[in-house]
Amino acid sequence: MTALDVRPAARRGPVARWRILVPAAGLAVIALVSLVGPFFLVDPLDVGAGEPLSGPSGAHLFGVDQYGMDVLSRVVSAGRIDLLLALSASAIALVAGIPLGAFAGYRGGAWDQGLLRVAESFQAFPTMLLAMGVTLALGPSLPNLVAVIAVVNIPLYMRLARSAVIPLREADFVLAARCAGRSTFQIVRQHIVPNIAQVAIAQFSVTCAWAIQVLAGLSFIGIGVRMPTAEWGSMIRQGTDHMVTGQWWLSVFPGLAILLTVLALNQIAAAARRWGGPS
Amino acid sequence: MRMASYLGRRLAYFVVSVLGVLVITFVLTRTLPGNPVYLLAGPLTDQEKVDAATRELGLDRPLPAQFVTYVGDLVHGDLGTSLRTSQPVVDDLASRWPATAELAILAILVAVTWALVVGTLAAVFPRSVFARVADLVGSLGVSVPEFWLATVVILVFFTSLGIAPAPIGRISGTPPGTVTGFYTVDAVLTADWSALRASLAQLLLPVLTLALTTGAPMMRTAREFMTGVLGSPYIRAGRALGIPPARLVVRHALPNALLPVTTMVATMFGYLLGGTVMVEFVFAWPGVGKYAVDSITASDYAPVMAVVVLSAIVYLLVYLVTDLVHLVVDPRSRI
Repeated sequence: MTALDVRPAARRGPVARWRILVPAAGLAVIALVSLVGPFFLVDPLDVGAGEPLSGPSGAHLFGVDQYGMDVLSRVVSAGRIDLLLALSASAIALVAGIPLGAFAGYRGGAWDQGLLRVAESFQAFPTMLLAMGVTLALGPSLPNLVAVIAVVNIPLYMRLARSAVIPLREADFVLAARCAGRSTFQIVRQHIVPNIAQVAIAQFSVTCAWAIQVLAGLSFIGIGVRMPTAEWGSMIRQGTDHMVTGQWWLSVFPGLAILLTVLALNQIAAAARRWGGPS
Repeated sequence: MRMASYLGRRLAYFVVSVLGVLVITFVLTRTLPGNPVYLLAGPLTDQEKVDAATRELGLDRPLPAQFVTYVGDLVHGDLGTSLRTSQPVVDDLASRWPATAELAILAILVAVTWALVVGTLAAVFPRSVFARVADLVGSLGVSVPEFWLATVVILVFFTSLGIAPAPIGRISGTPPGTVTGFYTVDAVLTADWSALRASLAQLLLPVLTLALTTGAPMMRTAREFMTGVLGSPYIRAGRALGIPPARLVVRHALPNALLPVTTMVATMFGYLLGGTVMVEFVFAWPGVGKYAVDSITASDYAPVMAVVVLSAIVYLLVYLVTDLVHLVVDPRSRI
């Protein structure tokens, strides 16, 4: 132990630009490939694409699954459904959760306590298990899956917005607006919500990452997106039947797709948070 | 006096949260597909039988009254009957929970250990290669889906390298005599060393999977907090006084980092319960999680809802205990 670094931790330099550019570029590539890739690849539902269970080769870069479907083509087209569902679920959670939390934090009192307790009750459930329960109750259609993932994430945004609003409640510009006779609703909408946009954006990225994991998890246990539709989680499930016999390409590639996408989203969130944080 | 009022408030929060959880699961249970009336009355039936079944199930009563019955049943341990195993759910859970607890406890112990050691070392040597590797492992660990990691470790350690046993559950061969239901503990108590070896071998991969995914966020928290502590004035003062760096870190800085880590452990516990469900399923681990997934596959909903509601209540309990422990351990919370 030669040097114990005792310089204050808060005195970090400005966020290096590559910290946000690299993951953002990675995510852009993933989104672009999922969007336009399917036009250049074989049909992901074509069961005659190749010899079933044949490994990666020149003709099938990611190999062929047990039904004879091309794994590369399925991984790429699964990106569409995973990204789309995750994005819309996170957007709904944000649009519903931020105003609710802002309202609770601004109003204070019984409203605040009531909404906070509701949010806490939802957060008491392990996310995956709550998602399982709600999916069973609603039935596993695509819109319902979006709803489920949105519901489990709304409390997160509520609490985030609430804690960001409380210090703003007594800020001069808010007091001025109140003196000018603005209603609570107007103040929250015009003055409070724009001020918490930054934390919301960092959280949005994290929520998208979580949404992909939850969606893939639900599909993995068989109540999310179902075969034959290509989805990363259900593809991994498909591969578990063959992993002990060595057909690794069935589940390794869709898993890598999840890992890279989630990693990029998490890194963007981390960079955004540091950018906004105290420097 | 302050402590008593804090304690009272904290317990009140706990009760309110449990009630909230029960309301949520009650609503979910009532919305589940599959009409229980028709299950009871049979497919070929007339209105009279349907009405009788509705009355018998208490579904004609107002919702608040139904809620009270629902909570009463839960309190009396009546979690319904599994259609798949035709056993009361509570009995099914009783026979399966030791498998889950053994896995989860071991996983959290391993996770906390590596998280604290790696997090501390990375904070002490922030510009080293080690810290960069720790960063990478932390980022990957929070991003990797645990069910996929489980399949990958099976591929690597069983299929390719052949150094881990096949993923066929808790033990290959005969389990040790039952004392506690925890195979490792029972094997030690009955001095059955081959069973101990066999059960530890089966635990290796699922524990590795869960410890990596749950330890990653803990490691990041520990590292961040230790970085803050190491930069604080009292550590600098200690360094100026000539206290050896190793002693400074272990005796003076680390105890301070333990508090946020215990909170983190409580938070991760909920995640662990969810993660165990997936990992048990991949490793054919006969615990509560696999029970829930198997029930889902069989459209058998009573066991699933039982696992959902119990996991939330267990989580709230763990959180309550953590807060109470803080009250005792951290003198500041008593002011």
